[in-house]
Amino acid sequence: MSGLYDGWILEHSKAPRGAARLEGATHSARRDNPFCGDRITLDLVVRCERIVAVGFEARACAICIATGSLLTSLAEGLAVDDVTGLVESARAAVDGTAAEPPAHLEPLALIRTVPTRRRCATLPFEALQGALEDR
Amino acid sequence: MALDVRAVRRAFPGIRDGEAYLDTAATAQKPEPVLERLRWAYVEASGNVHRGAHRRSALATEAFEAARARVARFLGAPSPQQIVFVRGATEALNLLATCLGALRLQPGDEVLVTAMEHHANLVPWQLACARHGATLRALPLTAEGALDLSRLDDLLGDRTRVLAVTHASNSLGTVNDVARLAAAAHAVGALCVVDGTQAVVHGPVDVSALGVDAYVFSGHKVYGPSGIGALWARGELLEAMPPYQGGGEMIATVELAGSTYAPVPHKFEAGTPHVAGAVGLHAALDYLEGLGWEAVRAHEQRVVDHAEAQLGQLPWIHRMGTTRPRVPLVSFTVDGVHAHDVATILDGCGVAVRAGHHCTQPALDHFDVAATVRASFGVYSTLEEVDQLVAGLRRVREVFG
Repeated sequence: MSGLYDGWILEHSKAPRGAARLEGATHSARRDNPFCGDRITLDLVVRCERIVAVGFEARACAICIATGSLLTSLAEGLAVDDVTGLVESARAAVDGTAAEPPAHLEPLALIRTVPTRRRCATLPFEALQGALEDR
Repeated sequence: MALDVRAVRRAFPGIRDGEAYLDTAATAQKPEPVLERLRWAYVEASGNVHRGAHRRSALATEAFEAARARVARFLGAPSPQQIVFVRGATEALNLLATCLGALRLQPGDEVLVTAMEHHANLVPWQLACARHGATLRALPLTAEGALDLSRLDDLLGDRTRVLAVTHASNSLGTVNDVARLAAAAHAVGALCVVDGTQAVVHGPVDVSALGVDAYVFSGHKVYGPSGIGALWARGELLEAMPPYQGGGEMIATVELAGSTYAPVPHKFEAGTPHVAGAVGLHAALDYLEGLGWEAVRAHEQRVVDHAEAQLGQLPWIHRMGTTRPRVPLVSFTVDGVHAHDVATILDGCGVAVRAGHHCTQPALDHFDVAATVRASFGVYSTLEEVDQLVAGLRRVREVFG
């Protein structure tokens, strides 16, 4: 538990980046965590097969909001084809299946210390993938 | 006689000083007598029931049927033959929705539930209604988290076939007047099915006095094993309902062209039952009733009163469910902090609570919250554990500043 709420999670959850629905979104998805009732709606603006803007609205815990915030900076500018790779790496970083997560996903490794909360961190990534798949 | 809480805590190897287990409404810890009987069932009564001529089989059958009689006594049921062993309340309610549905529901009929039901007493009725072309209605809640009985006459009518209601809410703590609800259901010719899971662990229940038609509970929430629960229903309903699952145990004769079924309750117990679970449940009921209901109630009331008083002094705590009488639990939100973050920080302070919607999403929707923190108490809970909870909550506020 120590360290979970004294670093990036607390900072991002208090002032999340991109925490608003996007007008003119080209892609959207809502994802629910049935275990806790958390809900995230994520919007994307995709131009020429590249994500140019990400926004989200979440009724969720600090871990989910902070991860959503982190996600917006990871996904913006990303080619649509690279999203699956990002989602899989993020999941591996959270699950601990990637021993050494890449530097940009390193903050997610903190979630490994609380196995009951892993889904809180992967929900925004599920929404990202869902936004591209749902339409 | 007051409850000797020290002695009670010593009887539960899963209860340790310094670790406040405040999640008994999710699952209760198990006392030694239950653990001993589980071992006995697997070591000594280790034959299959109702078959086999050998000693172990006879011992298992005897213990299993003794457990059935014990549950009947626990619920005030007129006969052990009206007790069906199931995996838990969820299976019991699915059995009732499926079999009562087949017996009673026609297109255009209605089933009335309430907005505080656990999903286990809601989703099976949604499925039954969909299967039979019936309509599901729900009694709404008041601001205090009670059933809004002013709406009962509108919602309960001559099309209502079943009123399915919880005896006590697992997320709000509200205790419902099921005797009154059963009488109202009967007045329009409907049956009253009661989910007793949160009620039976905190006080005596007498299904005959309540006048209900079916009553169910889970073993693991009354200090018994998981995977075992009981269903009581009126004898004539059990006789009239079709079987739930087919297989061994539940038949009289089987031919390729068709089968006849065993008499109740065996008609509803296909396959090898959870014998050890039933034996353990027997021990749990002996243990709980052996403490004395008056002592149990007085102790649990003292703990929850202390919790309500302490939380009442924290202006950043908002409680959901404030009616009386209540089962001993408190459900609340913390200003500016999500319930799951609260629970994770409390866990770090050695306090185990439940956070989430508690499988009662409609009830939380009523309060317009996605999740609450719930602290629930049992026979081993102490005032010191409540203080540990409050200290943990102060820590939560510090962290989130």
